[in-house]
Amino acid sequence: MTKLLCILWACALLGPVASAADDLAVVVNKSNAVENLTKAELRKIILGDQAAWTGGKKVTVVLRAAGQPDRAGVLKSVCGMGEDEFAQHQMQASFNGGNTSAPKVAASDEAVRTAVASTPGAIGFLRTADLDDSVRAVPVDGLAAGQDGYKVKSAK
Amino acid sequence: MLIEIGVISRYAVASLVAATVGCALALAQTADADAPGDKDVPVKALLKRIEELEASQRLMQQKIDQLTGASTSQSPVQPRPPVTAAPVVEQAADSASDEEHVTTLGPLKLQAFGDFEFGRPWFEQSLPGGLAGTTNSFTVGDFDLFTNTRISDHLNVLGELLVTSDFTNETSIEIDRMLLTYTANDYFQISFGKYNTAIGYYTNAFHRAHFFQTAISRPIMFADEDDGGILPVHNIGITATGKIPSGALGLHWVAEVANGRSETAAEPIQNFTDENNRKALNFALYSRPAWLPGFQVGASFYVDKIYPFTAPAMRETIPSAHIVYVGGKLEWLNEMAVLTHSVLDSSRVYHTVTSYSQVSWGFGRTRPYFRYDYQNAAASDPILGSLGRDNGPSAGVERRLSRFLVIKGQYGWLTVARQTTGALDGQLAFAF
Repeated sequence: MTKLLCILWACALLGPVASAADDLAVVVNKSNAVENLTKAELRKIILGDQAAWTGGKKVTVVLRAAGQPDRAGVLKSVCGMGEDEFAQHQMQASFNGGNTSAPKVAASDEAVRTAVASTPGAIGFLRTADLDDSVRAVPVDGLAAGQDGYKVKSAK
Repeated sequence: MLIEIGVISRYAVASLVAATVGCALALAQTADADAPGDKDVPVKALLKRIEELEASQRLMQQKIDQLTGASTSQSPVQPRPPVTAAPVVEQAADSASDEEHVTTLGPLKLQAFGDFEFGRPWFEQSLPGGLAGTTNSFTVGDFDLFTNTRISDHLNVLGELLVTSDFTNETSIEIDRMLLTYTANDYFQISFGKYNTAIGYYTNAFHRAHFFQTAISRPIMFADEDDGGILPVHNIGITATGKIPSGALGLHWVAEVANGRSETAAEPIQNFTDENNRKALNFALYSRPAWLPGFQVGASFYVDKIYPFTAPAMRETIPSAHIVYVGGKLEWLNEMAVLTHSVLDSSRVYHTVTSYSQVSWGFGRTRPYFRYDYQNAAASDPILGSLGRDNGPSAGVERRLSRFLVIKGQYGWLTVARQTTGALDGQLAFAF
């Protein structure tokens, strides 16, 4: 009985904890002057409600392919949507005359980094271990990836 | 056999020679690389070759983007990416797994929506005086062909072609929307063509695709002009919109000038010619606050002059207001408009109220809903008086069977001219 309680206690402790390793840094092209993004702004960008950066540069969202945990995590933690809801949102936004640019699909984290580094208005999501100086990480609501309370997470 | 051996021998000798030469070159290169002073030469050559390949790849990507209408062509003057990888980014539209419903014809992307129903053809297409038809009719709904295609960085074309039928059982084809849009930035966008007037929320959120709507039919308030709807939901002219710098308030503006609608012709939508020089004007303001995604509150004001055959000329004004919330679970829509006809050079004024309220809650893929429609035309209004009062509740369930298929069932009551009729209806709505 004691063992069972210990196991349950351990599961309760370990299960729901989202570690900093799951944090996805928001990365932009180094020429982008944005200093901070709120989660609401990030949501607008991903959903195509904000088509340009301050200064007029066109926003290009780069996401991993459907089914990848990083993409699922971004959609869930930022937009509160699953893949089906996101697809329907995109379809309806286009039907309503909205932004016609669907997010670009990158085949790997390296591809995300390359695309963001080479496209002036691009924004993507990378694990902190995949960051390098070719792109610039932007805090979300004043928090950098890895800090307590950071909200952009990969799905498990 | 000898010949075969000879052939094999020749291949073996050739392979041996090639291998020897290859090894020699490799050794020479290694030796060169090790040689002080000369070691940068092959590295530079390789870097140059990589740059050439990257430049070539960028050009190819640009050509692919031009051919497919993709919008992220990379400028040749952009800095070289530090990591050299194979082509890494592709348009989601090109990804079969993501948007299989999109057909690409050159730069043109097509979508279509359709629906099939069983029951009694419902509210929004009710005839004056009451519902008609049997309670077990099979109904082919709308076939809605749609494109929203970017043709340059700032221009895109939106077209919606509708094949539809009504209580006459005849099928008609009409352009529901056709717009050339210039987008300067988030704050200014202008469109020319046929559009849904920015009165309220519903008509510009769902247009004619039953696939996106929770309920089986549109609210009576937003019935098409052809189906007896009292609001000018379509217009031909110029519509401009944009954001207003307002921080978390998320304010947007809309301004429209259009032909307005005819009160003399059989077709109320003035697609081709305006029967008078007066233009209809519409202004709208709405807020989508950043702190509550899915919430929208707004108002609009429409004004026109109309010249019916059987009545004196009138000024038509339509103030409207809406407050809606569309979240992952809760959908809550409330809208009202007051259509006022003021006889010119007279004090006679007629008010017609039209409204609805709808609420639904999503349980996974299933979403039960309830709606109440209310419309009351002023009895003495020379144009709308015969419509009287239409009102009633309807309730149903929507279930998303897949990303592109929805099934709905609904039961509703509609009171028209003090006669209440109930109707059960089912619908399959799909996107492809």
